Amino acid sequence: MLKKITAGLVLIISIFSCHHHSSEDVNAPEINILSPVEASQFNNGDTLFIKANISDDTDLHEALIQIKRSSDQFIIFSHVPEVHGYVTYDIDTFWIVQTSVTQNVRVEIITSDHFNNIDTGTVEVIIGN
Amino acid sequence: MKLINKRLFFFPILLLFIFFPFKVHACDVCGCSSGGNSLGILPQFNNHFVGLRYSYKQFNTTHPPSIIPGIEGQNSDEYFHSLELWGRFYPIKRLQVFAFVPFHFYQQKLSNESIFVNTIGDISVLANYIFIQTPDTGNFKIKHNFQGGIGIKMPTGQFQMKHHEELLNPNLQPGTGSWDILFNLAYTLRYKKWGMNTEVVYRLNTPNPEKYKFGDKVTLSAKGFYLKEWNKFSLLPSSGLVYEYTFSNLDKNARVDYTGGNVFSIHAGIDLYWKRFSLGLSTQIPVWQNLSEGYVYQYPKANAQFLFMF
Repeated sequence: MLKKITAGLVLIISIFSCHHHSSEDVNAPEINILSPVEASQFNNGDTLFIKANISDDTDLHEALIQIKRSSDQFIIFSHVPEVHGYVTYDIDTFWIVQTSVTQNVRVEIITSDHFNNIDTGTVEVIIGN
Repeated sequence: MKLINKRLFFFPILLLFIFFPFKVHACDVCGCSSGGNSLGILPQFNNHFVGLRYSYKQFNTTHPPSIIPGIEGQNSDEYFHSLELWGRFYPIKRLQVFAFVPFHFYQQKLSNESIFVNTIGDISVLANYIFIQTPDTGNFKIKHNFQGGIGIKMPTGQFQMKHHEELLNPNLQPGTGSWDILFNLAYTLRYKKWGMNTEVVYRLNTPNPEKYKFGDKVTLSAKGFYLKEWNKFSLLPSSGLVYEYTFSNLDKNARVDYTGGNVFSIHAGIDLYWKRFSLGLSTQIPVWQNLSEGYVYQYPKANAQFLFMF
């Protein structure tokens, strides 16, 4: 009987011992901004479409879209798409330009996976007029 | 006989040492995944039974560092209520077959809303073989019961539930989406009215279709009990120690941050036996814990079970 028990324990232990092989994900997500195009211009009242594809080799955790004034980093627009758990996600949002003062702004997309790998994509455009 | 008794005395200690994990990892943030189908202290005479058991777990989660301003440090509370229909059947002598059908009622309370999950979970089946059992007949002062088995957890629960088009946190999903293997070893020693129960449960998880694998879970417990019998009913108070260790989750074979952890708890419980019925109440109070790298705090657990033996 004890032989049977010992054999059982050895079998279980051997299953467990060869089981936990994992790696650390060091690859950051990828961001491909489709719109707006770098250095494009948007007048007061125009719609600035923000379109991008973000993807990760594991799963996306969070994403943040912001439009910041280039001169002082003041945040004009902010949006948090619900990307959690997706491998790829298509960002499709917009902001209507509400200023006649010509200025440079930075459209910034930040995304992270579940391993704290972060990627940032930016496009600088001109708004106002 | 003496030699066998001596060996059997060391089984609880042997089991604890063999399965005690030496490497400390840090459960996906927002509570913990479902348990490992621990059996607890059960009547060992050869009865079938069916029953219901209820478990309650509560966690407080602090959001880890985030790229979204204002998110880091936010708190949420998770309430995990589970009601399980379960039973034990003896198809042949010495072989026990257990079946578990859980229904989950989960709630996550965020600062501005609550998320509810109310549905069936993953069904499990476990077969245990009784290696050693002291016969009821004869004048044995010390009684032993040593059993072990293997089981399977089927992916009957949903594992891709969404809230506002966003996938729920894996730990809030009622199912894991995976076929998992359960291992169980339990040894019970009785001397007159006193007894001791040691149990090791290991849940070996496999990746689900999304290649997300919940961390394996080990539960070790050692409980002492005393049986007080009256004419028509018996009481069995118990106390002991429970250690739960969860390995980190893997996403496409990469270790997920802020997952896994361990909890060391004290157990206190009481079981009432009356005719063919049994009612049990117990609690597990964490005395030391490190879940999700410290971002999750587990409150005391509560359990209740009702059995009908036939």
